[in-house]
Amino acid sequence: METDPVIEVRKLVKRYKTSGEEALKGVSLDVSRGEFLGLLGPNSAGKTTFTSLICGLLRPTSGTISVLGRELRGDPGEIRNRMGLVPQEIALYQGLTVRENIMLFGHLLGLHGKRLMERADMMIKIFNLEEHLPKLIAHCSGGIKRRVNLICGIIHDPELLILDEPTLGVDTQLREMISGYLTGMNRKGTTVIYTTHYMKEAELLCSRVNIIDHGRVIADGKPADLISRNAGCADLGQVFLNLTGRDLRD
Amino acid sequence: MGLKKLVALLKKDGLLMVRDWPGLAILFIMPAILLIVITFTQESSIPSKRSGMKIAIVNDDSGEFGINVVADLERQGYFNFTPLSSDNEARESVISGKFQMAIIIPEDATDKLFAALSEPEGAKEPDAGRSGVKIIYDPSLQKIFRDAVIMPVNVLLQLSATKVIMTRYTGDVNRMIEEYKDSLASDFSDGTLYSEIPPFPFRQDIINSLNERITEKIKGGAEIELPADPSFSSTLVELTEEPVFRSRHMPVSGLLQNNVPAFTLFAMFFIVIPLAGSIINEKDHGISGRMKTIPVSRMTIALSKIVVFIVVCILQFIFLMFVGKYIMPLLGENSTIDMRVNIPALAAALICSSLAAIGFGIMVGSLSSTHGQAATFGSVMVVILALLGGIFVPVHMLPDVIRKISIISPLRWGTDAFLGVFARHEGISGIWFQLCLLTSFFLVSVLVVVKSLGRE
Repeated sequence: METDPVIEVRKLVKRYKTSGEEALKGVSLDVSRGEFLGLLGPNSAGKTTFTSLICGLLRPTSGTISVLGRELRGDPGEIRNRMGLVPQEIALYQGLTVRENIMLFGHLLGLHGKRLMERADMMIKIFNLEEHLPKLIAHCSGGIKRRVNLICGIIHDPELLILDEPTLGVDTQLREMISGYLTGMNRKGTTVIYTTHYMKEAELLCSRVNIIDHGRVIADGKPADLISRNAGCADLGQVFLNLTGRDLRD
Repeated sequence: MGLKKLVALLKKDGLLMVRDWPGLAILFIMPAILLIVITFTQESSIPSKRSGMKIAIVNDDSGEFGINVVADLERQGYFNFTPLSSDNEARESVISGKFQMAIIIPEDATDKLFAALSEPEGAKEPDAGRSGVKIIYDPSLQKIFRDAVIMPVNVLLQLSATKVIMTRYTGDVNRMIEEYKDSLASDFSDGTLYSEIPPFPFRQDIINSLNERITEKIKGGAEIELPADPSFSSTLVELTEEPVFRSRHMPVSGLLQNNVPAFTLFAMFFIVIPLAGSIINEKDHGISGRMKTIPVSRMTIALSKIVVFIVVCILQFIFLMFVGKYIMPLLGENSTIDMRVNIPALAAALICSSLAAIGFGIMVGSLSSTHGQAATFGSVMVVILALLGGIFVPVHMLPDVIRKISIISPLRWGTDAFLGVFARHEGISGIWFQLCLLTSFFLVSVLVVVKSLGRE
């Protein structure tokens, strides 16, 4: 695995203008090329703010972010075609069919002609969507929507992939399928940043895990190392509770 | 138990209602605005002093007729008349739209009026000598509004002419009677009249009695009775109508010529509903967030919406033209549509109006939080802007205060542009100001959206 950082974050602070709330309080971390980084944390910890900042959806209040060798001061610009985002929401056009959504986002992500057709057909086959292609997204089940949502973020085979709870609300079979595919992508060199509330999933998939709470990174390391460092914890879920506490969050 | 549940639900619905302040604003403020605007519009549906209809008057006649007509028009209190100094000034003012109509009294109107009266009956066509008062008008002015002015003005002209004639002849007759009365009285007093009556008993008493009665009668003067029915079997003043325009051929004026472009504009602005809806959909479903991470410029994303909706607007225009030209005649409509318009001007008016409508839709979609807000606010705003813009009642018929407010309505600018093209056959140079306003509105709308949605 190459070790040059794909993402470099230094003393990142994000304060929302409308609420005055400081969602991130000086986060610094590096993500190396080829890593599968799990981003864990309770609700309102700052995970989504962090991923939004590295995608260029938000501007930092202070600190620096460098993604794929380019310092982000606002709009990600040309690095957008080298990264992929799979949002938590089903960000698809409800009025278009499964195939139309895949083709649209493929085009917008820079694929055209034969290359687009090959990639689309491959994704459709891997995720068993052949018989659902002519259906409008609005008429599809949650599982199909999740699969299409995923395909629309990865169809261009990005160098850096950011996924925000991609298995939320899906059954075990589909979760297995998604996990398997992402592991395959990571083995081929894609750097993955993966947020999830499923500790078991993070433990199995991630090569490194960051736990964020109250806008700060409170733990960083391989899952096995974190478990062994936290006495009395048998798995990552217990480590998480040990570090973040059992109080309910917003 | 049921009542307690009802109370709980009432509280829920009440709280939701009170917290939806944009919805409340739409429920109260919008109807108030509609009430005000529609009331003023209804009042303006016929030309009157209160309406904004502007009529000029040019009096080149120094005789009694011209002076009386001007005085009578100013006194009537039903329309606003503005005096202008010359025929040319009146024509330019009507062509430019400053006035909708102008009444022109020629310089020899009084002389011609009396000359026509002194001709023997049946000698020649009376029209040839009649003082020809002319009404010039903007061809975009609908016939119904034109007739609402011309008919009372025509009656007033005839009455003014009658009054002038009667004043002059009554004076003449009274003078004649006075002269005759004096000479008759002297004939009585010196016995000239009765000299041939032979002597008979009571001759002098009868003569005295006759004298008294005749003298009394003469003292009373001549009473000239006007006919009880003031209708005329023929007119004293011939009133001609003349449209004034700059183009080579006379524009067709009619309901359809005005309404088809006006309602096309109205329809265009209703794209606020699907356009705002699509923007809100993209926000609600996280698509707009996804789009920001994809290597496509915002300009490209916006351009795709702009192009699609421009095509929709053009199709709306074609469809409404089709309805006006082919369906309306089948339903009994007599007026026609004249398509001998300046095509580049028409294309420019269509595209700029479409851009303004699209800008409005983008603004509503970006600033609204829900579909309901966008649809309700958008559609009611379009109706208000349409009322102000002269879609339902021409702008020049609206009262002053409403007309002044209407200058902020993009539908007013669009209506003016389309009327310029369809009713006055203007080229781009004739509607450039409206085109600039429409395009600027689009650019300002986009700017407002970009600023308000600037990233955190």
